[in-house]
Amino acid sequence: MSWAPVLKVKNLSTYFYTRYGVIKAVNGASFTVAAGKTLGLVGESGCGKSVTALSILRLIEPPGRICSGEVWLNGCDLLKIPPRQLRQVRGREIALVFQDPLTSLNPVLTIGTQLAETIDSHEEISRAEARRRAVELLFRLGLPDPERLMRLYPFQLSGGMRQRVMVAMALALRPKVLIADEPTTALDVTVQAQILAELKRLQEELGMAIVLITHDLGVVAAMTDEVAVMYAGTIVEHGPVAEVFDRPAHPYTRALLRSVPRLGREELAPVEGQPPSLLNLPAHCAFLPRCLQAGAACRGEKPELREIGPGHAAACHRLFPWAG
Amino acid sequence: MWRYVTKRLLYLVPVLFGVSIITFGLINLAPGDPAELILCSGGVEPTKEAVETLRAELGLNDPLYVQYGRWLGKAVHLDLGKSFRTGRPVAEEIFSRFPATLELACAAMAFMVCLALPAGILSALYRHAFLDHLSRFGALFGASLPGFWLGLMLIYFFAVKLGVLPVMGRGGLRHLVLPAVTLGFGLAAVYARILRAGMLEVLGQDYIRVARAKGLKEKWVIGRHALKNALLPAVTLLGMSCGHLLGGAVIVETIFAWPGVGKFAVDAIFNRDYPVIQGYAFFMAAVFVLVNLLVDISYVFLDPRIRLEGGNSR
Amino acid sequence: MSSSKNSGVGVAGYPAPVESAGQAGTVSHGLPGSALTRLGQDKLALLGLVIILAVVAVAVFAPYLAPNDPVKVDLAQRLAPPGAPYPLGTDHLGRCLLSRLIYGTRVSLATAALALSAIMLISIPLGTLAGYCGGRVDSLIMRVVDVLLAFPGLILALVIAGTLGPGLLNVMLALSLVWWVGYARVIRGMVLSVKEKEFVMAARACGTRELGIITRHILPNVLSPVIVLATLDMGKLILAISGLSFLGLGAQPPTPEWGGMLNDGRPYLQVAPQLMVYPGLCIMTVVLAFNLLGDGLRDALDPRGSTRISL
Repeated sequence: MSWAPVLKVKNLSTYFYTRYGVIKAVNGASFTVAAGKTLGLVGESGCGKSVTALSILRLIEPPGRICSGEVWLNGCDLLKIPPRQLRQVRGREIALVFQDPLTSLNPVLTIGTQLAETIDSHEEISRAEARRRAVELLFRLGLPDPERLMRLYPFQLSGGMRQRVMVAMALALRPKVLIADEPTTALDVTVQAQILAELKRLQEELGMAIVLITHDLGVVAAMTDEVAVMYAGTIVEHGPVAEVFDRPAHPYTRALLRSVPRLGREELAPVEGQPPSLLNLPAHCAFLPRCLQAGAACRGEKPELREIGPGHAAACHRLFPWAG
Repeated sequence: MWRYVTKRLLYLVPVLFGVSIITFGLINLAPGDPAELILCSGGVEPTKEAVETLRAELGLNDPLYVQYGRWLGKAVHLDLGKSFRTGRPVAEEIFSRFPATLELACAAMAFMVCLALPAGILSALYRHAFLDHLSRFGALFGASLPGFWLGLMLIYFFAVKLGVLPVMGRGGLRHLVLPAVTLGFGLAAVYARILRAGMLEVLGQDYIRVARAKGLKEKWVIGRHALKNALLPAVTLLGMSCGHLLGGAVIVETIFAWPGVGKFAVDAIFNRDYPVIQGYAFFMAAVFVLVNLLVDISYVFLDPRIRLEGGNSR
Repeated sequence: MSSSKNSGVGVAGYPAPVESAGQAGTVSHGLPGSALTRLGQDKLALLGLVIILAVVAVAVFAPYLAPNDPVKVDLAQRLAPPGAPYPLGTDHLGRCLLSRLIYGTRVSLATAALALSAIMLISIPLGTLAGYCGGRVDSLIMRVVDVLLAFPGLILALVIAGTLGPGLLNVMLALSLVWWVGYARVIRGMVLSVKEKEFVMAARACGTRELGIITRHILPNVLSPVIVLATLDMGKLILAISGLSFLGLGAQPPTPEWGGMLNDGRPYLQVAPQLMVYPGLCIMTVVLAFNLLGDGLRDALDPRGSTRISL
C-alpha cells in the first residue's frame, strides 16, 4: 500500500456568521490521509471536528461559510469544482457517516428506498438492479434477513442496525474516502466494537481511506494509523498514531492523553480550564490560557504546524525556541 | 392500524351525541316562544288559542328531554324539521345548497395549495432572499386581512374598475374565481408560513445532510426527502382549516351572493328561522367531524411511524 | 459533541443563548428577562407594539381627536367626498367617516378585550380543574371541550349569536362560549406538566392544602404565559367580531364599528369606495399589529417554536 495521500486538506477555514459575531469553527486546518489508511481526528467537543467533515463535502449551510482552503481529492479541489461535478463526487468518491443513525435516516422512507436511491442516482441502472445491489450490501454488512429489512422504516430498527445501514449506504458505491463522524458514540459499547470491526474489515476489502472523527482515544489507538489532534479549529499535532501517543509533542496532546484512564495508572488529570470561545479567538496560540509550559514566545503570533520527526508535526512555539 | 380507525370511529359516537345536545339546546337560547314565532311569520298577530294549539301540536309543552328524544329520533333519520319560512324540509334545503358550498370550499382549497405550497417551499429554500421576503410579507398581511374586506376590494378592482370578472352568483369557472380567492387567501397565508417553518426545520435535519452527502440530485433531496416530512405537520392542520373554510364561506357567500348553505343560514338567522339554523349547525358539525376523521386516517397512511406502530408493531 | 441532535452544526461549541427559557410548559413567571431582551431586538414586534399603543391612545382620546360627532346625521352631506369639514368624506347618512373610524377603535378594542376576559374567566378555572383533579372531572370537562371542538368554531359562534339575536353583547357572548375550549386544553396540558414538578411535590410533602398548591404553586406558572399569549390573540378576536358585525349580527346602528361600517358602505362601492377602503385598512392595521407582537412574543418565549397556542 502506498503512502500517497488520497485526501489532502489545506488551510481549511469555515466561519459561522451569527448575530453574536463570527464563530471561527475551523480555522486553518490542514491534514492528509493516505490511501487505504485511517486517520483519527480527535479533540474536545466543539473544537471543529464535525464542521471539518462537513466542509470537506461542502455541506456547510448559512450562516456558515467555507472561507478559504483547499480540499484535494483525485487531483481536483472539491471547494472549487462546479456543483454538478461535486454531486458526482459526493457518495461516489467520498462518503460520510454521521454520529446519530436515528436522525441520519429519513423517518418516512424505507431502508430499501434510501439505499437504492444512493446507487441509482450515480449509476445508470434499473430500480430493480439497484435494489438487488442494496440487498447484497446489507448482507455484506452482516444484517439478518436483508430482503425484509429493505421494506422496513428506520424507527423499526435498533440503533446498531441503523448504523450498519448507514455504513452500508456510505459504502454503496465503494468510495475512496469514508469520513465517519463519531460513528459509534450513540451506540452501546458492544455494538460499538462490532461496527468498528466491520469498518476495519470493509476497509481492507475495499481499500478505502477513513477519516475517523472521535473524542475516544481508545478507539483511535485501536483503529487508526495516523492521528490529527484538533484544538479550536486548528490541527495542533499530526503524526503516526504510535509516535503521537508515545511521544506527544504538543502540550494539549499531552494533557489529552493524561486525561484518559489507563490500567496501572492511578491518577486522572483532566485538561484544566475551558476550551476557548470560538467567537473571540486570540491572535496568539489558542491553547495559551490553558498551557502549563507557555513562555514569552507564545504571546506572539499563532504557531505553524512544523515537522518534528518522520511524518510527525506539531504547532507549538516551545518546540522550536529558535524560531519564535 | 385498523384498530386505530375503529377506535376513532367509536369515539365519534359520544361526540356526535354531544353535538346533538348542543344543537337541540340552541333553540332554547332564542328569545320568545317558537310557536308564536311561527305564527308571527305570517305577519298577523296570532290569538292566544292559536298559539296554544300549535304548542301542543309541536310538543312544546312536553318536558325538555322528551322533546330532545323526539328531535334526536327524527334527526337520526335526517329529518331536521321544516323551515318556518318556506315550509320545506330543512334537510332537503341544506342538501340542495351544499354542493355550491362544497364547490367553493374545494376551489378555495385548491387556490390555497397552489399559492401556499410554492411560496412556503421557495421561501425556505431561498431563505432571506427577495422571494422569501416577498412571501413572508404577503403571508403576514394575508393573515391580518379581513376576508370580507379582501372580497369587497376584489369586487371593486376586478368587477367595478376592470369589469373582467362577474361578482354575483354561481356559474362557470369565471364566477368561482373571486370567491375562491377571497376564501383561500387567508388560509394560504397561514399555510405558507407553516410550510416555510416546516421546510426550514426539515432542511436542518441530519438526513437531509446525508441525502446531499450521498450525492443525490437537489430536486430529489427537496422533493423526496424534505417535502414529505415538511408536509406532515401541515396535513394535521387541514381538518381544522376545513372548519375555517366552512366558517369563512358564510361571509364570502354573503358578499358574492353565492347560493350555498352559508348564505342560506345567514338569511335564516335574520328571518329567525330556527329549524334551519339548528339544522345548519348540526349538518356543519357532522361535515366537520367527518372531514377531521378523513384527515386523521390519511395522516396515518402518510406517516409510517403511526401506521405500523398501531397494528402490527414488531 | 455537546448536542446529539445536531451532529454537524458547528455552533455547538458556542454557548447557545437561544436555548434557555420558556419551553413548553416550563416554569417561568411571566416573561423571563432573556425573553424580554429577545423581544427588544425584534424590530417587527416593536413596530406592532408601537401601533397598538397608538391605537389605544386614539381610543382613549377619541373625543379630542375626532373632528365631528360620529353619529350626527347630515343628509344634505351624504356620500360627500373627502374635503373641508369631513377629512375622509361622509357615509350614506352624511356622518363623518374619520370620526366614526376614530370612535371605532373604542368598540373594536373594548369588545375584543371584554370577550378575551370572558374567555379567560371560563377557560382558566375549567382548564386548571381538569388538569389538576384528573379522573372524572377531567374527562367530563374534556368531553365538553371535544364536543365544542366538533363544530367549526366560527359557525358555532355565528349560530349562537344568530339565535340570541343581533347585538355586540351577544356576539361577545357567542365568541367566548366557543373560544374558551382551545385555552382550556392548553391550560390543562400545562397544569398536568407543572403538577409533576418537584416543587409541587415538595409543597405537597410539606402538607400544603390543595387550594394553596393550586393558587400559589401551579397557577402562577401556568397563567402568565397563557395570558401573555392570549392577549395577542386579540387580532383574531377583532377579526371575528368585525366579521360578525359585517354580517349584521354585531354592532347595531348607529354604533361606529369597522365591520358594520363596511357593511353599511357596501351598496356604495362604486360611488364612494373610500367607505370600504378605510375601515378595512383600520381592521387590517390593528390585526397586523397584534400579529406582529404576538409572533415576536411567541418566538421570544419559545425560541424553538414548540409551544403553539392557536384556535
